[in-house]
Amino acid sequence: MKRLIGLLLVFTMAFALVSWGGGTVITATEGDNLAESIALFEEAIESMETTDGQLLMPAPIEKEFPDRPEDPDALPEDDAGRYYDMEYVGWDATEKSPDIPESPADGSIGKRVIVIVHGDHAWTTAYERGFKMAGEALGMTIDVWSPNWDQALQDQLIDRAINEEPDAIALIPLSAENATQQFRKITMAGIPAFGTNTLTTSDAMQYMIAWTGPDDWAQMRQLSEKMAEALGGEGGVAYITHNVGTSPYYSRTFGPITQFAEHYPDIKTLDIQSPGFEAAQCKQIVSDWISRFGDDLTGIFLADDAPQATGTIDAIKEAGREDIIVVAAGNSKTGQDLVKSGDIAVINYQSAEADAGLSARTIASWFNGETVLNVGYLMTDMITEENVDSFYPTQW
Amino acid sequence: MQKTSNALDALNRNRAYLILALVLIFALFTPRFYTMFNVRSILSGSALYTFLGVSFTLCLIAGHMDLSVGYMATTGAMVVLGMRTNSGLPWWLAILIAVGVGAIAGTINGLLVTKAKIHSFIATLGMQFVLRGSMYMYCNGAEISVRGEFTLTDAINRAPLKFLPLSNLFICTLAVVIIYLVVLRNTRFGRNVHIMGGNRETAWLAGVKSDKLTTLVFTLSGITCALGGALFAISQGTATPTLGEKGIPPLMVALTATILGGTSMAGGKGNVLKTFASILAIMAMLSVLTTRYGKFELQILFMGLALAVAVIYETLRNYARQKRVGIRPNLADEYARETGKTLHIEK
Repeated sequence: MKRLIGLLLVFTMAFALVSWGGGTVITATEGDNLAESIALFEEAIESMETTDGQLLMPAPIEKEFPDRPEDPDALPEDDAGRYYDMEYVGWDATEKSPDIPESPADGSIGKRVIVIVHGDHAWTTAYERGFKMAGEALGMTIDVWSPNWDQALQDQLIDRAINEEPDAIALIPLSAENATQQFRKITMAGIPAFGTNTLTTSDAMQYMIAWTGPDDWAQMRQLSEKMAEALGGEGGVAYITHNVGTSPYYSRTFGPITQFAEHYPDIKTLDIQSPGFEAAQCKQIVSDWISRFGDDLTGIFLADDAPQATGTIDAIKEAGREDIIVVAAGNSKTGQDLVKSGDIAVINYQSAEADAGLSARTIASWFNGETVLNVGYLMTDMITEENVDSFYPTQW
Repeated sequence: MQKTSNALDALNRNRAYLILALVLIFALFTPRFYTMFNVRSILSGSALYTFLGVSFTLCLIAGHMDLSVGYMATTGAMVVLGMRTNSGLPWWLAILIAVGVGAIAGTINGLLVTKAKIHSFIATLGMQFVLRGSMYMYCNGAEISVRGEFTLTDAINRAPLKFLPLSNLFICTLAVVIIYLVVLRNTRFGRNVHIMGGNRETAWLAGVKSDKLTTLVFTLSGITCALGGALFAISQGTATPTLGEKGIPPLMVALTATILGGTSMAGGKGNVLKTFASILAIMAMLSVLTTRYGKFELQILFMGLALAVAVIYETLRNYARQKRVGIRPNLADEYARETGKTLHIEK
């Protein structure tokens, strides 16, 4: 017991002794540099380009949203209304938490932004590059931290970031469910929070100033349209999903399912599997599908255009079933090469660098005192064999 | 010479406190380490690992390993939020059910070890996978959150004394450490656990009912871990079935802290307070690493190195000890009684 008291005393005394000045505090640049920031902003959004020659900081897209069904959960699984709160998350969240900070309206130059991503990946490297390019062009210092896909580590990094008192924190939440508490924590610490890339639940939207990122649902609907066109409006489709429970899981599985159900009732769902992102696992599942469904299997919808795609194409080629139409979400070099070789029919263009650029643009706009969209979507496109050359070199 | 040896022994016995002190001194040179927010984060962040650490220490003192502590905590976390958010039960009942599930899983561990005669390493490893699979099925692989109901989350994270960085969660953790400390030191149960872990034969001769005691130890471990997981989930407002899978597994922190704290891998010797000090040292060091270098890889590397160094050191010490006194150290006591000479043995 004496030791326990001693232990506590040591910790408390050490804390008390040095808490008056345990290090340097990084603060925002003082003084009015608003005019200079706005001029820099105007120039940067027009001139900066991604490594594949597209705009780095495109204007955010606002979209119309329909009325919410009375009880989405009561709707069938293939009804788009069932996923209303995911597809239109945040669009109706006009009421923000009273703890949301006001814009300092003193310009973006000299501001420090900590970006907490979800994990290390080739996509994340491109995203980080995009954020740093955009930040530099807008006069902001960008620190990117990665928790390697681990929820506990991401929570820990959020605490760390709050402790450093940056001018803003941008977060790609690992989990939609956990995002509410994460954004709430940042906001309650008085730090402006911005959501980026991955959608959260509606609850979380009140604790962030703005969310920017790809409109995965709309892109998946466009991808489904392309697939339906290639299938001639009928057939059997099987799905390999994203990680269960994440927002892309729903958008990349139920986006196409609901789209087909509404517009192409002759396209049936054969199976849905979640083997993760290992090519070998995906190959096994596709081989099983080919044996199980035979000629009824006419299309495969993938949540990823890299390992999932390579595994799928391997299985298809081994079985001699090149007639199966494969479409994939994503925009990697692997995916683009497979489109170019004709193995994949369509993938969607989703720029990692511009995703980051859009977030940086939104944060800078807010520092400049401008009103920002509650939800701002990233521009999009479809990549097919005809236009794939215009999207090289790939970002990741 | 003897004085130097005694001093080194004392340092080694108290290495957990020494490491903690060194880390705290090192942290003086880390920007913004000693802020109210950061110290509170470190202390609250140590809560889950402390629950697991004391459970692991208890089992190790009893001569067993409980590799299921991490998933036992995950189970507690998932069940408490599942019961509250999905089933709408009151908090007290949700916590009770989570702890009950931990108790059942712990008892099964104990029965597998005592009745089925399966080595605890294998039995608890199996339990780890059973719990992992069950939790994936329970929540369909997704997280469960409090869905905007933050009253209890805020309460558990609140520091009752504003000038001290001690949250209610950390105060609960301290209470658990004190309870374990008192029980293991001052009760017959605690003494029997030490005797059983040190020498099963002696325990039998002393009339200790080893099977019953072992089962009880695993049950207590299950209860403590599930309670820790439940409190952690409430404090975070969410529970994930993949806790620590991609980063630092909670089991690894518990194991490292237990060994660093001086608990013998051979059983019979250990101290929950030293385990607790080691966990604080690890958490403080992880905070320093993140602040100074920002990369999670360093945390994983540090944890791996800390565990490796502690295990190698323990192994070498055991080897040296056995070489000096043979594999039956109790013979040294007999030698002392018969000859009147003391054979210097590290205890």
